[in-house]
Amino acid sequence: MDLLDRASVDAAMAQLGERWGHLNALVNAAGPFTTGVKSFEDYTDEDWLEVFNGLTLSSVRTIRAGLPLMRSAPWARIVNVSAMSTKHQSPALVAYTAAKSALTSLTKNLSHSLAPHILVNTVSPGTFASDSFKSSLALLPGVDENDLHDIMRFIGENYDNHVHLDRAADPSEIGPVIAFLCSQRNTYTTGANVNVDGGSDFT
Amino acid sequence: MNLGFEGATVVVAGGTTGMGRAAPTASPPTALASRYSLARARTSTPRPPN
Repeated sequence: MDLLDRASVDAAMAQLGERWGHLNALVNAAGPFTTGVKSFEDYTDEDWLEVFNGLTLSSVRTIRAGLPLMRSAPWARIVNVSAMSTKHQSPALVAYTAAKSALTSLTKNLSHSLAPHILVNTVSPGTFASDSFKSSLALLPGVDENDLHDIMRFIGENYDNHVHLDRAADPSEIGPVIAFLCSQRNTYTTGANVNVDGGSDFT
Repeated sequence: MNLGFEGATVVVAGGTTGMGRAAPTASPPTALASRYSLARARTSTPRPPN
Protein backbone atom coordinates (compact mmCIF):
# COMPACT_ATOMS: atom_id res chain seq x y z
CA MET A 1 0.00 0.00 0.00
CA ASP A 2 1.50 3.30 -1.13
CA LEU A 3 0.19 5.91 1.26
CA LEU A 4 0.94 8.66 -1.25
CA ASP A 5 -1.41 7.13 -3.84
CA ARG A 6 -5.16 7.23 -3.28
CA ALA A 7 -5.82 4.40 -5.71
CA SER A 8 -3.33 2.17 -3.91
CA VAL A 9 -4.87 2.87 -0.50
CA ASP A 10 -8.39 2.33 -1.84
CA ALA A 11 -7.34 -0.97 -3.39
CA ALA A 12 -5.70 -2.16 -0.18
CA MET A 13 -8.78 -1.38 1.88
CA ALA A 14 -10.99 -3.06 -0.70
CA GLN A 15 -8.82 -6.16 -0.46
CA LEU A 16 -9.04 -6.05 3.30
CA GLY A 17 -12.83 -5.79 3.08
CA GLU A 18 -13.09 -8.74 0.75
CA ARG A 19 -10.89 -10.86 2.97
CA TRP A 20 -11.99 -9.90 6.47
CA GLY A 21 -15.15 -7.84 6.06
CA HIS A 22 -14.42 -5.04 8.46
CA LEU A 23 -11.69 -2.93 10.04
CA ASN A 24 -11.36 -2.54 13.80
CA ALA A 25 -8.15 -0.63 14.39
CA LEU A 26 -6.34 1.81 12.13
CA VAL A 27 -3.00 3.30 13.17
CA ASN A 28 -1.61 6.09 11.03
CA ALA A 29 2.11 6.32 11.67
CA ALA A 30 3.54 7.49 8.37
CA GLY A 31 6.65 9.55 8.72
CA PRO A 32 8.22 10.39 5.37
CA PHE A 33 10.35 13.46 5.57
CA THR A 34 12.28 13.73 2.37
CA THR A 35 12.78 17.47 2.41
CA GLY A 36 15.11 17.39 5.39
CA VAL A 37 15.38 19.96 8.13
CA LYS A 38 15.84 23.54 6.97
CA SER A 39 14.73 27.08 7.49
CA PHE A 40 11.35 28.47 6.46
CA GLU A 41 12.83 30.54 3.65
CA ASP A 42 14.35 27.47 2.05
CA TYR A 43 11.11 25.53 1.68
CA THR A 44 9.60 25.62 -1.79
CA ASP A 45 5.93 25.09 -2.54
CA GLU A 46 6.84 21.62 -3.72
CA ASP A 47 8.52 20.90 -0.39
CA TRP A 48 5.43 21.96 1.52
CA LEU A 49 3.15 19.86 -0.65
CA GLU A 50 5.43 16.86 -0.25
CA VAL A 51 5.50 17.12 3.53
CA PHE A 52 1.72 17.54 3.82
CA ASN A 53 1.17 14.74 1.33
CA GLY A 54 3.26 12.36 3.40
CA LEU A 55 2.32 13.37 6.90
CA THR A 56 -1.29 14.53 6.61
CA LEU A 57 -2.94 13.39 3.39
CA SER A 58 -1.64 9.86 3.86
CA SER A 59 -3.87 9.57 6.93
CA VAL A 60 -6.78 11.22 5.14
CA ARG A 61 -6.52 8.51 2.49
CA THR A 62 -6.45 5.57 4.90
CA ILE A 63 -9.27 6.91 7.06
CA ARG A 64 -11.48 7.78 4.08
CA ALA A 65 -10.95 4.40 2.46
CA GLY A 66 -11.29 2.51 5.72
CA LEU A 67 -14.35 4.32 7.01
CA PRO A 68 -16.99 2.05 5.49
CA LEU A 69 -15.18 -0.97 6.91
CA MET A 70 -14.97 0.65 10.35
CA ARG A 71 -18.60 1.74 10.34
CA SER A 72 -19.65 -1.83 9.68
CA ALA A 73 -17.37 -3.25 12.37
CA PRO A 74 -18.64 -4.15 15.86
CA TRP A 75 -16.10 -1.69 17.25
CA ALA A 76 -13.56 0.62 15.67
CA ARG A 77 -10.71 2.87 16.74
CA ILE A 78 -8.29 5.20 14.96
CA VAL A 79 -4.96 6.37 16.35
CA ASN A 80 -3.01 9.04 14.51
CA VAL A 81 0.63 9.52 15.44
CA SER A 82 1.52 13.20 15.59
CA ALA A 83 4.54 14.75 17.32
CA MET A 84 5.53 16.64 20.45
CA SER A 85 7.07 19.30 18.22
CA THR A 86 3.55 20.56 17.55
CA LYS A 87 3.59 21.83 21.13
CA HIS A 88 7.25 22.75 21.45
CA GLN A 89 8.26 24.42 18.23
CA SER A 90 11.66 24.03 16.65
CA PRO A 91 12.36 26.49 13.80
CA ALA A 92 13.98 23.88 11.58
CA LEU A 93 10.94 21.62 11.82
CA VAL A 94 8.52 24.23 10.49
CA ALA A 95 7.01 22.13 7.71
CA TYR A 96 7.03 18.85 9.62
CA THR A 97 5.36 20.48 12.60
CA ALA A 98 2.74 22.22 10.50
CA ALA A 99 1.79 18.97 8.81
CA LYS A 100 1.64 17.08 12.11
CA SER A 101 -0.48 19.89 13.60
CA ALA A 102 -2.92 19.46 10.74
CA LEU A 103 -3.08 15.76 11.55
CA THR A 104 -3.79 16.54 15.19
CA SER A 105 -6.58 18.90 14.15
CA LEU A 106 -8.01 16.30 11.79
CA THR A 107 -8.04 13.81 14.64
CA LYS A 108 -9.94 16.15 16.92
CA ASN A 109 -12.50 16.93 14.25
CA LEU A 110 -13.08 13.28 13.39
CA SER A 111 -13.44 12.35 17.05
CA HIS A 112 -16.54 14.52 16.96
CA SER A 113 -17.99 13.59 13.61
CA LEU A 114 -17.35 9.84 13.92
CA ALA A 115 -18.72 9.52 17.46
CA PRO A 116 -20.04 7.50 19.07
CA HIS A 117 -19.09 4.40 17.09
CA ILE A 118 -15.49 5.22 16.18
CA LEU A 119 -13.07 6.57 18.80
CA VAL A 120 -10.27 8.71 17.34
CA ASN A 121 -7.17 9.79 19.22
CA THR A 122 -3.76 11.35 18.72
CA VAL A 123 -0.54 10.04 20.21
CA SER A 124 2.30 12.55 20.32
CA PRO A 125 5.70 10.95 20.75
CA GLY A 126 8.70 12.86 21.97
CA THR A 127 12.22 11.77 21.13
CA PHE A 128 12.31 8.12 20.16
CA ALA A 129 15.50 6.30 19.29
CA SER A 130 14.15 4.72 16.16
CA ASP A 131 16.53 3.05 13.77
CA SER A 132 16.14 5.89 11.28
CA PHE A 133 16.78 8.56 13.89
CA LYS A 134 19.78 6.68 15.22
CA SER A 135 21.11 6.43 11.67
CA SER A 136 20.87 10.19 11.36
CA LEU A 137 22.58 10.70 14.71
CA ALA A 138 25.36 8.32 13.75
CA LEU A 139 26.43 10.81 11.11
CA LEU A 140 26.91 13.54 13.69
CA PRO A 141 29.89 14.05 15.99
CA GLY A 142 29.53 14.26 19.74
CA VAL A 143 26.54 12.02 20.32
CA ASP A 144 26.25 8.33 21.04
CA GLU A 145 23.21 7.16 19.10
CA ASN A 146 22.99 4.00 21.22
CA ASP A 147 22.76 5.86 24.53
CA LEU A 148 19.24 7.10 25.32
CA HIS A 149 20.54 9.62 27.85
CA ASP A 150 23.14 11.00 25.46
CA ILE A 151 20.55 11.32 22.71
CA MET A 152 18.40 13.41 25.03
CA ARG A 153 21.37 15.56 25.98
CA PHE A 154 21.96 16.21 22.28
CA ILE A 155 18.29 17.05 21.71
CA GLY A 156 18.31 19.36 24.71
CA GLU A 157 21.33 21.24 23.45
CA ASN A 158 20.16 21.51 19.86
CA TYR A 159 16.39 21.75 20.13
CA ASP A 160 15.95 23.15 23.65
CA ASN A 161 13.86 20.10 24.47
CA HIS A 162 14.33 18.69 27.97
CA VAL A 163 12.24 15.96 29.60
CA HIS A 164 11.77 14.83 33.18
CA LEU A 165 12.96 11.28 32.53
CA ASP A 166 16.20 12.69 31.10
CA ARG A 167 16.44 10.19 28.29
CA ALA A 168 15.09 9.43 24.86
CA ALA A 169 12.62 6.57 24.47
CA ASP A 170 13.06 3.13 23.03
CA PRO A 171 10.56 2.54 20.18
CA SER A 172 9.01 -0.32 22.15
CA GLU A 173 7.72 2.19 24.69
CA ILE A 174 5.03 3.66 22.47
CA GLY A 175 3.41 0.47 21.18
CA PRO A 176 1.46 -0.35 24.35
CA VAL A 177 -0.03 3.17 24.46
CA ILE A 178 -1.21 2.92 20.89
CA ALA A 179 -2.44 -0.62 21.45
CA PHE A 180 -4.63 0.46 24.34
CA LEU A 181 -6.13 3.45 22.54
CA CYS A 182 -7.11 1.36 19.54
CA SER A 183 -8.40 -1.55 21.59
CA GLN A 184 -11.82 -2.52 22.85
CA ARG A 185 -10.65 -1.66 26.36
CA ASN A 186 -10.63 1.98 25.40
CA THR A 187 -14.30 2.84 25.74
CA TYR A 188 -14.32 6.51 26.77
CA THR A 189 -11.22 8.24 25.43
CA THR A 190 -11.70 10.03 22.13
CA GLY A 191 -10.34 13.29 20.77
CA ALA A 192 -7.43 13.11 23.18
CA ASN A 193 -3.84 13.99 22.40
CA VAL A 194 -1.75 11.63 24.51
CA ASN A 195 1.86 12.61 25.11
CA VAL A 196 4.46 9.87 25.20
CA ASP A 197 7.37 12.20 25.76
CA GLY A 198 9.14 11.42 29.02
CA GLY A 199 7.56 14.42 30.72
CA SER A 200 8.01 18.00 29.69
CA ASP A 201 7.05 21.36 31.11
CA PHE A 202 5.43 22.60 27.94
CA THR A 203 2.69 20.00 28.02
CA MET B 1 -4.35 -7.31 30.49
CA ASN B 2 -6.28 -8.62 27.54
CA LEU B 3 -7.12 -5.69 25.28
CA GLY B 4 -9.65 -7.65 23.26
CA PHE B 5 -7.94 -7.87 19.91
CA GLU B 6 -9.13 -11.42 19.34
CA GLY B 7 -10.30 -11.61 15.74
CA ALA B 8 -9.77 -7.90 15.18
CA THR B 9 -8.65 -6.54 11.85
CA VAL B 10 -5.79 -4.09 12.25
CA VAL B 11 -4.03 -1.78 9.83
CA VAL B 12 -0.80 -0.03 10.71
CA ALA B 13 0.02 2.58 8.07
CA GLY B 14 3.63 3.65 8.34
CA GLY B 15 7.13 2.81 7.30
CA THR B 16 6.38 -0.87 7.68
CA THR B 17 2.77 -0.66 6.58
CA GLY B 18 0.86 -3.84 7.08
CA MET B 19 -2.52 -5.28 7.82
CA GLY B 20 -3.78 -8.42 9.37
CA ARG B 21 -6.28 -10.09 11.60
CA ALA B 22 -5.47 -11.12 15.11
CA ALA B 23 -5.83 -14.74 16.06
CA PRO B 24 -9.33 -15.67 17.17
CA THR B 25 -7.93 -16.96 20.43
CA ALA B 26 -7.07 -14.76 23.36
CA SER B 27 -3.86 -12.88 22.76
CA PRO B 28 -2.13 -9.92 24.33
CA PRO B 29 -1.51 -6.83 22.23
CA THR B 30 2.11 -7.72 21.75
CA ALA B 31 1.65 -8.30 18.06
CA LEU B 32 0.41 -4.78 17.51
CA ALA B 33 2.93 -3.32 19.92
CA SER B 34 5.83 -5.03 18.27
CA ARG B 35 4.40 -4.18 14.88
CA TYR B 36 4.51 -0.53 15.77
CA SER B 37 7.88 -0.72 17.40
CA LEU B 38 9.22 -1.91 14.10
CA ALA B 39 7.75 1.06 12.28
CA ARG B 40 10.30 3.44 10.98
CA ALA B 41 10.38 6.43 8.73
CA ARG B 42 10.20 5.41 5.12
CA THR B 43 12.63 8.13 4.19
CA SER B 44 14.62 10.29 6.48
CA THR B 45 17.20 12.96 5.69
CA PRO B 46 17.46 13.51 8.61
CA ARG B 47 14.61 12.35 10.79
CA PRO B 48 13.25 15.12 13.03
CA PRO B 49 13.16 14.32 16.74
CA ASN B 50 9.38 14.61 16.95
